Amino acid sequence: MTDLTRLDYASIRKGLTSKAFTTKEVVQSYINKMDSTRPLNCYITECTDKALKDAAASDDRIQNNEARPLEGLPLAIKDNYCTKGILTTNGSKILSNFIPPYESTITHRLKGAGAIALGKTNLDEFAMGSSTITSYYDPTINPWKKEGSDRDLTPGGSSGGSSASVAARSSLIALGSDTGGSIRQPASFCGVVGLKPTYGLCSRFGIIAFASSLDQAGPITRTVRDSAIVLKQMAGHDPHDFTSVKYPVPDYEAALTGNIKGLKVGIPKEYRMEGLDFEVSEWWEKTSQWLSEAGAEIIDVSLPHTRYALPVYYIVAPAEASSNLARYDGVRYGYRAEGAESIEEIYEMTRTQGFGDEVKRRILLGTYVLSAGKYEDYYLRAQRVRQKVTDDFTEVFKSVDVLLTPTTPTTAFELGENTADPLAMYMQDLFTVATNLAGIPGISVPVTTSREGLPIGMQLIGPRFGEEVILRTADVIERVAGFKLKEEF
Amino acid sequence: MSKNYVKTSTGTWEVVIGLEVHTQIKTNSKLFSGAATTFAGEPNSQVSFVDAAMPGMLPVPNKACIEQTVKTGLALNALINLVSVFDRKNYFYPDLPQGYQISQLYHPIVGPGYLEIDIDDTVKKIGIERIHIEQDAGKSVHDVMPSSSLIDLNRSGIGLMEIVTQPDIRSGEEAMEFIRKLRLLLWYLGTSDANMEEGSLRADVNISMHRPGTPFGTRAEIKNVNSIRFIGQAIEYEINRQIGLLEEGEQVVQETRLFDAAKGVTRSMRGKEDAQDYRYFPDPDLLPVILDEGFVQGLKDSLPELPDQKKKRFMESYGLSKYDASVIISDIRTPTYFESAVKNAGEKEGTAKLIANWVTTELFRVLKEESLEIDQSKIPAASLAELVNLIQDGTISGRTAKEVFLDMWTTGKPAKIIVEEKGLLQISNTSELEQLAENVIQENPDVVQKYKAGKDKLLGFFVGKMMQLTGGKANPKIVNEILVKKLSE
Amino acid sequence: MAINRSDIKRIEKLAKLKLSEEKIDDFSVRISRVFDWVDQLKEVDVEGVAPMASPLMDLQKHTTGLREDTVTDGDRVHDVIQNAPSSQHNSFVVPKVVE
Repeated sequence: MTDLTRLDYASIRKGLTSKAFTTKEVVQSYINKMDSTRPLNCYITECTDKALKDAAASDDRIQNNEARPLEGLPLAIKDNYCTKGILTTNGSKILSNFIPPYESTITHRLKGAGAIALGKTNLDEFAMGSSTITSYYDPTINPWKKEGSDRDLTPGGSSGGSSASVAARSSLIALGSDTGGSIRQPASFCGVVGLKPTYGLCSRFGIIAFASSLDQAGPITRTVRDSAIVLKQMAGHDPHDFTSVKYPVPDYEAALTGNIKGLKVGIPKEYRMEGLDFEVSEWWEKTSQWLSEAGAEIIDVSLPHTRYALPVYYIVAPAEASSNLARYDGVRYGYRAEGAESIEEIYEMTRTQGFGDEVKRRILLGTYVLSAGKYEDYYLRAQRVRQKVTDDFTEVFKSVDVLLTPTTPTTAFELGENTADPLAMYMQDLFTVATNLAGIPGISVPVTTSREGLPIGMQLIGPRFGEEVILRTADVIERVAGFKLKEEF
Repeated sequence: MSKNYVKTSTGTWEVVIGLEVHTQIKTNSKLFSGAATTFAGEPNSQVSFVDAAMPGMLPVPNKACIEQTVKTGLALNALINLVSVFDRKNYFYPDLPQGYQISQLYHPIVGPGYLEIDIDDTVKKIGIERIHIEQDAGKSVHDVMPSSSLIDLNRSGIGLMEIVTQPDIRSGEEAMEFIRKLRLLLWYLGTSDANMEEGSLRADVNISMHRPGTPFGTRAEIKNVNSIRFIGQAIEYEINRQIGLLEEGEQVVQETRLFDAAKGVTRSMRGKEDAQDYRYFPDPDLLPVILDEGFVQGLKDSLPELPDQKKKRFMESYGLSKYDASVIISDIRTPTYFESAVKNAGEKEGTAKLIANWVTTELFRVLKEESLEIDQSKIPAASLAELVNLIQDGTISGRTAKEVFLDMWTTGKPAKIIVEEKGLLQISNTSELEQLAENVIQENPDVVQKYKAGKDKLLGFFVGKMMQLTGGKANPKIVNEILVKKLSE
Repeated sequence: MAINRSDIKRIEKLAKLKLSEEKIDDFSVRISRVFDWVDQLKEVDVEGVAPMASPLMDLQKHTTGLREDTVTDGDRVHDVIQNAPSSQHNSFVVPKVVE
């Protein structure tokens, strides 16, 4: 029998309905894979017993011809989605004992559509990072290694556990969240597809906030089609989220026509910047050629303020985070420092012991930019520049349908690299962060492996609610690229 | 020279007062969650996950809180801001679960307006600077456990209006009258119960002293004063304290003070509050609240008759004195009772005035004795109308009516029945009274002589005799007429 | 822009975090570095541009909108306090707070 973990969900779904195999068999294969890949540390919490029970129920449904849109989908969930009755740590000591009595809207919808939760995946603490090394639960390791090397590489972050598990086949599809690139960068590092939808398309209810005006849920999958399938179930208005948009959800799978004739693809010249890896740059050029050969028109465009996106992000995100993380005070849930004798000590000791260095650094940064005398110069100025970054996109999408850029300036780096200088790590978000500021969608699709044998991903950026066009374009790239995960994964 | 000036041996002082009134918005559910707002309840029984600031929870604003605040603004003749923004006020406190309070600093929903108060028979306009909406905090209970405090979040997230006045108030009496008038307005509007006992209305008092004609002095802020009487006491204490300091050549410190009701003094909170820096910024979970003109106009059209309008109408349509009208409109239920009685009694010259008189004297007296509200009155409005009708048509005398009124109160019987049962019908039969007058005149020839000699006052002697003989039931008007006629024969 | 030790101590207090002495130095170096870099925003002409607090500022009419005033939640004390580090009398317990 074929290894069921090698099939994409479109094929799994076909096999389940034709009764070629059962959900139980599918889930068991994934559980086996979870066991064999445990050294990668993709999961913080595994829910295999529950998954097998759910699989049995799923098989009953299939028997009764009651299969739902995502029936039997083996799903991994980033550990910043609250899951009822299941430990939800956000990669932090401060939530290391937190069991939510409620479920996030997205996981509720996916489970309701038939998805089966395998477990909760590792992430940078509070989703703050680009390498999954700031997790309280140790780093996740990228299944990819440089050709002829056995040194551990980072899967990227913050959705490192999710993307590594999809690449290593310990999950079929994983949920991520993206505040500055946290879905797309790890997807690129792991050779999988990562989609950050339009802000407001997917509910944030029950996803632990990092930066509320930037956070957005999205899927990490092995194929563009699987992203389209799962996005349809994730998207749609949620009355529990004031920033949720009443947008009629289209059939994203139907958008994958393979036809991009006449599509206008913009190449923003500002992304050709210092620090961009030569090979990544080469493949960027090559990808645009593929699109041109498929009938698209390639147009050079300019996003003059995009270079300011990263500094804007490093003011706005920490500012919002400093306030969002004030609720972790040791009073109502989570970790409380022992030996604290006053309420002040509970606050200080709990937060000092409960948060890691990167989180503390960002809280302090955010507190500083909001403090008296700095608010106008930093926070407000950054929000004004944010508008200009956004206006650039609005302007450019008047003349093009999508933008093509690399997802990251480099391929995956070694664990422990880029930690001494915070800026070096922040540069990981260089190409992804502007879309979060503007609230527009972006998708990373793998195109090849580098000479060193590491995946390179390209990013397609669309206008607001342009998920269909970026999925269609990514699908075309995927077909031409013929990228494959390593056989041994 | 203003009577509000305070004269001391060194000259004249004037007090300048501004109020910040916090009052609970009358709604079924909280400002950002669907939990109930009812008073009391078991600890933490009226708490949603949003109110407890559980991870991933999001606020969704309550439409009724917006409507109620706009209505209040309209009733205060204020500018309604069609765009307002919720900001976060960041600080740590055990009963503040989010680590921030959602409020409106930069763009409040209601702008400048005013409230007119009656003070010493003149009308004074007190400027309203703004009204904004904010969340209430929970409650810390200190007296249940010896070394711990208990946190109850039932109040956490209840919507409050903060009504901020201009520094237009010039005496404790004006401040108290402002609160009385504001409270009455809120009752009429139904936008707040403004119940000081339950803590749903409390005020911060900003107070400074200066020499008339010179710039305002440095102010102190007395926080959270929760009764009208305490506001008067706190202001009086503070006036003396500040004058004392200034006359000794010392400075008033700009600081927050507390009113100690038991001792009748204000004391500094210095040292207990660090230099605060609330780091206000727009709440990224919430978008600006945008109202359209139609919405505001609809609320304007739905406003009930307000106290000043009602007072004017009562004076004009019912001929009530300013005093009676003021007394009747000074709570929410009396006008209803009064108008119901007037309607039942029918339109006759002087009826309304007579009813007003009965309501504000006899009825108020018995209600007060038994601590009842007017809508709990044992004499319904229709019954009081009947009693007044009996007086007006001469069936009973005013003196008898008082007796009947008390019987009605204790027995619950209608006036007519009591009058019949007790035989209290006034004797208006002229021939019967003429016969009686004849007898009295014949029995007292010497008094008749004196009367005829010019001692007019002796008429009272004959009236008294007739009343004596009829047990007080003779119609005094008719008795008078008959006697005058007969004595002049 | 350099962020010195006293700045860090001030914001530490606001954020209720307490760093060890050597970490303060480390943080001050790292944060100063970030601020030097962030200062490039001062080059941008933002005259007349309104601050963008959310990507949905212009989509207001198509978002969730205000909630109707009905009681839909509460009455779940157990769920609310079950994660509390310390609870008694259906309440969260903290060391005595001095008013």
